[in-house]
Amino acid sequence: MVQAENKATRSIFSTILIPIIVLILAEVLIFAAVLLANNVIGRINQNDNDIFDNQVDTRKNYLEDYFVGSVSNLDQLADVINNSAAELIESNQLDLSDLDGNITSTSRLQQYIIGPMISTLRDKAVSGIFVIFNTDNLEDLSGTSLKMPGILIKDTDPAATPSARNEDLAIEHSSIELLNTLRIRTDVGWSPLFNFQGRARDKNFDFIRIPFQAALTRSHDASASDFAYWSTTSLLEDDVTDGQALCYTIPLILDDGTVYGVVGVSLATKYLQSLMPMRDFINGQEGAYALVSFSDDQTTDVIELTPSVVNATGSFTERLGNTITLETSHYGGYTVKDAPVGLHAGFRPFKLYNTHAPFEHDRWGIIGVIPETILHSFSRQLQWTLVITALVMAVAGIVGAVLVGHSISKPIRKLSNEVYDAHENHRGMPQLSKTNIAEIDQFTTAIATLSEDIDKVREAEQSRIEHERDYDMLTGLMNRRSFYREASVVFSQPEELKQAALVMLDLDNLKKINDMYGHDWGDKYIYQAANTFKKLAPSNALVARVSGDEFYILFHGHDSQQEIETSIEKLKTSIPQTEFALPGGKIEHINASGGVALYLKDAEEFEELMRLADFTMYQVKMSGKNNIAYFDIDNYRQRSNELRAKASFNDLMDNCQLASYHFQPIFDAQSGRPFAYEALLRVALDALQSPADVFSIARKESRLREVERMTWIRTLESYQGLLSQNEVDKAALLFINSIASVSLDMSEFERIAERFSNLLSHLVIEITETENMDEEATAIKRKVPGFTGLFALDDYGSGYNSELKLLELKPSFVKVDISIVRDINSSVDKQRIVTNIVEYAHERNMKIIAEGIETPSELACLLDLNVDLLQGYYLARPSEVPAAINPVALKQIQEHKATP
Amino acid sequence: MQSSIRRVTIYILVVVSLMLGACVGDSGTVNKTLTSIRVWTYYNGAQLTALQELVDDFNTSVGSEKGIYVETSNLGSVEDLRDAVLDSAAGKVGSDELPNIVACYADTALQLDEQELIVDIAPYLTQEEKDRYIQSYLSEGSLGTTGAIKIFPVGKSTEVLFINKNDIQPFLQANNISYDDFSTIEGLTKTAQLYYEWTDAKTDEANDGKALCGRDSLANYFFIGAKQLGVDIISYQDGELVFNFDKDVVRRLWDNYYVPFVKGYFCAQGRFRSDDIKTGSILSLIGSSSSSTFFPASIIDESGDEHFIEMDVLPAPQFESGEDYAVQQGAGMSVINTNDIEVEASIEFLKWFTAKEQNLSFSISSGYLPVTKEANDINEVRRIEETISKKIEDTIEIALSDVNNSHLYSPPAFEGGAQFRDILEACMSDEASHDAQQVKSRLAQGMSFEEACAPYVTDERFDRWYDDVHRQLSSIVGQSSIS
Repeated sequence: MVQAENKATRSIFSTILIPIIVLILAEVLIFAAVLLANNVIGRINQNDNDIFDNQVDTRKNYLEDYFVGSVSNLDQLADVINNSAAELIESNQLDLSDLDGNITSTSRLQQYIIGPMISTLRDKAVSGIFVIFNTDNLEDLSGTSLKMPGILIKDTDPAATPSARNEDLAIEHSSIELLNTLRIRTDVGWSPLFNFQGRARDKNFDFIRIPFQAALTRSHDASASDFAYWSTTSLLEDDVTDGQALCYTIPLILDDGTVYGVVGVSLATKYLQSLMPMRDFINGQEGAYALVSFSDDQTTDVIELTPSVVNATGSFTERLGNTITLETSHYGGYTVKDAPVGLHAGFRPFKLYNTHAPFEHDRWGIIGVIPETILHSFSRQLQWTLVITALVMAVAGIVGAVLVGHSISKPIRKLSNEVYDAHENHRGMPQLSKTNIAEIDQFTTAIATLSEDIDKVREAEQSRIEHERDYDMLTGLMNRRSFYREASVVFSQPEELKQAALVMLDLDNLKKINDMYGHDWGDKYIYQAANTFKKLAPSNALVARVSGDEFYILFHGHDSQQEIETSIEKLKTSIPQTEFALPGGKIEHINASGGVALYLKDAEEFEELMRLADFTMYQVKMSGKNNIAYFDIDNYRQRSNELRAKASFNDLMDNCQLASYHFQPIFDAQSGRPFAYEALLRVALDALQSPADVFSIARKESRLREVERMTWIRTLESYQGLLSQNEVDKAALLFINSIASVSLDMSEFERIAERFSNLLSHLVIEITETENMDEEATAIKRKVPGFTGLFALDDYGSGYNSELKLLELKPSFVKVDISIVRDINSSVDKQRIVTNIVEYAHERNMKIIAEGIETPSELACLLDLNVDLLQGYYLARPSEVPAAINPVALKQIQEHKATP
Repeated sequence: MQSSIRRVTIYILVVVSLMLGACVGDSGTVNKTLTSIRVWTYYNGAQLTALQELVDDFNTSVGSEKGIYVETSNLGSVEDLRDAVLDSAAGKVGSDELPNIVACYADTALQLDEQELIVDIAPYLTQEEKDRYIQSYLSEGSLGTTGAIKIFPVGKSTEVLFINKNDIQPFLQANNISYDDFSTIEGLTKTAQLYYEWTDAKTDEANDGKALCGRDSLANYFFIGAKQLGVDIISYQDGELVFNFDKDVVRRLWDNYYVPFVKGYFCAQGRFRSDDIKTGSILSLIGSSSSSTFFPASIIDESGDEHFIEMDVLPAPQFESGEDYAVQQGAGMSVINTNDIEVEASIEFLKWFTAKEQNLSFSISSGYLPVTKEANDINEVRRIEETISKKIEDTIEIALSDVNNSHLYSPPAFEGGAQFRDILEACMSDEASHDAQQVKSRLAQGMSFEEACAPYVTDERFDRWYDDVHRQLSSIVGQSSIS
């Protein structure tokens, strides 16, 4: 799984496709590599060359057999002619001395030899047979007409079955006598004589001249066949029909040595071409055979050949010139030199002449020429086929892979999408479609089954969780959450609700049992209590445990309040009677405090009922426990005011700006000028109107320190403001009412000292007499940086231990409480107290402040008693900006002073 | 999605197979199976050359395109050819493989057809293609089966009279004779006698007169002569073969060939009469229009003297007061039933060969008459080749005029027809040659001309000959009738 996360995730399609494509390409590469490594194409090419050369070889053997074995044996016919000639000479019917231009001279001889000539023509299957009579030296042509008697018979198609009537033969030359005897048609150019006029100097005369002259000029006795000569020539003057022909000629030599002509056979070009057929070439496409002559003094690497008879396909003839030059090819065989396109040539020489024969250096042979493109077309085709096959295989493979990949991935993708959609839309496991892939279908079936199982488990788990969510594990009662839900359901249906009441119960002695017996016993206690509640409550009542020891019971559906009260009464009496057995045989009774709020009577809203029941329960809890009380509206209201005051206090603590400080001047009794200002807290909040309330709550809530902090900061801030606006006498002192029992931290004081450094030297800390003084707190206050140590003791004379405090604090100022000042002018006792304290104070350099002066009489009396400083409404009331002294009072002071 | 994938797949497969196809197709030209077609003919000389040149043309053009390669063989005469084909069909030892196309006449074709060797070409030709040919030429090849075409007409000929223009002039002038006298057979016979007597008179030696004329085909003489005289020697009536060797008619034929022949007015020495023209033995010949190419350009006489001559062509003479009939000889080709591929290739070649240009070219080179309607016009002939040889042009002109103006007649083909024709060919000519030799011998023995000829110009001589020939011919027709 960890590994899988490291790899990139791929689709199933590409997971299938990519490896297959890689595999296919690898196969193609291996295929190509194997072919290249084995040089398959090169070997096929070489093989093609060999096959072609063998074909040429076969053709050569065929021609050689034909030329040597069949064509070139004329000895027998020559013998017949010689014998006939000899016979006729003997009987004076032939005169060899008068042959030139004489058409009748050899008529008789022609009659004698025509039969053997025709049968020789047939036997050898040649295109023509001829005999030419001549006794003149052909090197010296003067005096001859070059018209020679003789016979020339042609067979237009030697390969065809001979005609029994010789219809396929034509006579070119013969005596007229012979013509009229034979039933053989003449050819167009028939004439009795061979006419070599005009061509006796060119090669067309060689076929007769060369063997004839060789025999004529022979130096030793030799047979006629020794002078046999192969040549190509035009047999006729204007040979349109047959063109060049290959001739084999031997001289006619009489026994007495007279050379009197030649006999020979001819092979017409067309016929020779048919012996070198184009079907030999690969399906007759392109190529050529050529019968060639060459001299045998050439090197074997480059051979120059003269083609005599060429058989070529189409335009191929033009590609071979008058000479063909071959050079050896490194693939075997030859190539045609200087050919515009590559031509392969197979070349095979014949052996037509005997060794030591006069013309043995004239060599003949056959070449086959074929364009390499055709010869190697198979290998090229193979090459292409292999390439195309490889490509097609690759393409087909890839297409196949795509299709297979698609066909495999499609159902899987569909499957995946179905599951994904279900997941996205928070639906359950859908009906999964089949992929028809056994393993995957098996997998999905298993997954579906598993999913169903999981669903069942989850449902069970769900209901268990729901139960746990809605019911208390320990008691099996509803928990708070389900109680609220159920209750709101009930409250939304008034016909169901009818008369109802909410009872809140709190187990009183759970903590004790937990502490004494452990939580197990505590739980058992809770369990038993719950059971008791359940048992005692009507069956339709909602009973819930909402916290550790708190239970709610909602009575509803009752027709009258009376019914409910009856039930509650039962609860009230039965609960305390329920016993709970503790270890050691000790019996504890279920103790619970409960509050009841009645629907309609007390409240209509469920939340309100809850609040009221809760309130009532706490009231019970606070007033002795183990009882169930009904909501009492008066009690509630009282508690409610307290609560609101408390809330206001909290607000004040949260936001000190809600508190304002008024300053009341303290006047010098001698001059009537302001000596100091006392900062007095003023609150004007909804449920909190007097500073006394503030202190009261702060005390209850143990938040006196916060009030102390507020006093310090807010007083100094306010006074700072007044100073800056010149609203107060700069020399005057500032009295702060500090709470005796608490103190700020030194660190707090340091911050205050830093902020209000200019004020602390004028500061007097007034300790309220009503509070128990805390020594430690007082000690800290003394050490406030910049503080000159001036304390004032407030409310002197009102408490029971004013003197003690006076001793402890050793204040610089003592404030005589308002209760002593009030009507002092008419009370000797009060005057006495003041006289004593004044005396006491002055002896110790303390100053007495009379506060709460409200009448001129009080002022006059106090002045008489010699108090040092004066404070009271009569002089000046407290206000945000200190007021000036009452002028009447000032006058009184000034008059008193003036009085001795 | 699915269908688009499928479409793409099909597209790819098609492209791939086209690539493969193209590849194979490309190499296919290399591996194209070549259908080799063997054409056997009896053509010689210029005809053979003309055929071979056209075949070469075909092989390098259309044949090369369509993978057809044509080879020609010359087997001598039409009879040689027929025998060779029959031998091949019979699988005789030494015989060649069956050819695909054979040149033949109706009679020889019929013999091959009897062996079921010949393909009916009709199904291979569209009506349009058939309409291009002169109808009678096509129908001649039906071999009696209506609608069938067993012989593909490639060239036609009729008989004309060729004359050695140069050498006949002195005779014509000396005797005040015009070519009009050559228009009838009787006129020709009479003129031949005049010529013999005129030449005889030129030397001191008696009875050494020369022959004026010769005939190449005696069978045609029989058939056409009889036809002109109102007799069908062979005909079909109501599907039955009717043989009519009318004695009076045959006698007129006899009198105008055998009789002048034995007297030396006519002659036949060489294989063909053109050979006799060449040696100066005769001055004119009645022969196939297609033999004009064999008419020599020069004459070499026995003394060895050679002189150049020109040729005149006249319509073949007809019997006086006879009907106007000219022979129609088919130089046709038949396709041998080998296999479908070769048969189709053969027909492909023949269609090409008889297309207008090729047909004209062949006609011009060989002296045959074109077989298609549009080519059958001397102006077309002249158009196609400006350097047309004078003698061929003249011959074709006369022959075309004959063909276009006379009734054309070709004897119906029938089983045994070839043999029948062989007999007609030889029966009178052999007899005449033999008897003419006898007459010569008798003259050499010193007999007078009349004496020497006397035994051969009698009714008995004719009757004996007639009975013999009638018997021979009847037996063939009888055999044929029986079968």
